[in-house]
Amino acid sequence: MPDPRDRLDDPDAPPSEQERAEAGALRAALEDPSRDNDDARLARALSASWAPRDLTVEQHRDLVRSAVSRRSARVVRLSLRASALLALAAAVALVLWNDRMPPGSSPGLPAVAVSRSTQALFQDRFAPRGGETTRIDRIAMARAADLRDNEFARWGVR
Amino acid sequence: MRVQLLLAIATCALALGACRGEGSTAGCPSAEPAGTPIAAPMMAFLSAARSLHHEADMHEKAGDAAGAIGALERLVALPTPQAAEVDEVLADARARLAELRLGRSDLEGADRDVSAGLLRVQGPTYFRGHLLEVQGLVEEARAASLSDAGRVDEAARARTRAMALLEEAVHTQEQVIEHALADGGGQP
Repeated sequence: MPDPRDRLDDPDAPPSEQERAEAGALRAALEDPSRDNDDARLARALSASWAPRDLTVEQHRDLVRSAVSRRSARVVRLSLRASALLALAAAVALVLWNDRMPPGSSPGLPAVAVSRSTQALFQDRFAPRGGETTRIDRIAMARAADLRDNEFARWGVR
Repeated sequence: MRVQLLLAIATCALALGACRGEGSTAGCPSAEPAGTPIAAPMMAFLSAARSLHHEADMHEKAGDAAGAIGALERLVALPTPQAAEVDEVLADARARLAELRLGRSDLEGADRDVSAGLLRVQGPTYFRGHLLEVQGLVEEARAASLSDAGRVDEAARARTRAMALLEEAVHTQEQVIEHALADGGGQP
C-alpha cells in the first residue's frame, strides 16, 4: 500500500525505489571517480571549492589523454606544418622583395638620405697642411643637396 | 617531425640570405644601425662651421693667427647635433686649430686639440689619419724644442713618439685607401 504522506512535505518519509537507486549510483560514483554522475561531480566541485586538493595521478592522466587524443594530435601536427610552410613562404617573399628593392631603400617609404661619414666625398688623403675650408665647403654642399632631396621626398614631388 | 625540422632550416637559411642582400636590411641581426635622416639642425651646424672656416681663412690671409684661432674656437664650441658629419667636421676643425697653435709654439694647446679631435673619430678615416699626422708633427716640434734646450733624453723620447704617431697615421691612411678600393673607389 502506497504511503499516503506526501514526501515533499515529510522529510522523514521512507525513500522510494528511485531514490534508493540514485543514492546507490551517487555512492558508487563518489567511490570511483571514473564513473559519470552529475551529483558526484557537483559534490566534488563543492568539496574542491571548500578544500581544494591536487589531482590524482589517474585524474591527471585521464585529462591529458582526453586532451591529446589522436584527433587533437593530428590537428596540432597539421597546424605546425601549416605554420612552417607559411614561414617558408614569407622567407621566400622576403628574398624576392629584397632582390627587387633598390639598394638603400625601405619598403613603403620614399628613400631618404641619412647622416653618415663624409669619407666618401674625398678620394685622396688630406694634404699635410690646409684644405679644411675646401673640405667643409664640399661637406656642406653635399649634405645640402641631400637635405633638398629629403624635403622633396617628404613632399612627394620626386 | 623531420619535415618540420627541414622546413625550419630552410626558412632560417632564406631569411639569412635576405639579410645578406644589398637591399633593405631592416630587422636583420647584423645590419648596421641606420643614421638619422639629414635634417635642418645638422645643416645649421655645417653652415655655421663653413662660415667660421672662411672667417679663419680671412684672418690667416691677413696674418692674424689669433683671429683664426678665435674663429675656430667658436666653431668647436657650437651646439652639436648627433651626426657622423658633425664629428668629422669637429675633428677637422681641431686639426686646424692644432696646426695654428703649433705655428705659435703652443704645443700643449695643440696637443689638447688633437686629443679632443681623436675622441670624435674612432674608425679609420682620413680625418683620424690627419689628426694623427698633426699629433706626430706636434711631438716632432716638441723634440726639436727639447733638443734646443739641451734635454737630450726627453727629446729622444718625443722623437720616438713622433715616429710612432706618424707611422700610425700612415697605417690609418693605408686602411682608408684599402677600404675605398674594396668599395669600388668610394662614391659620395
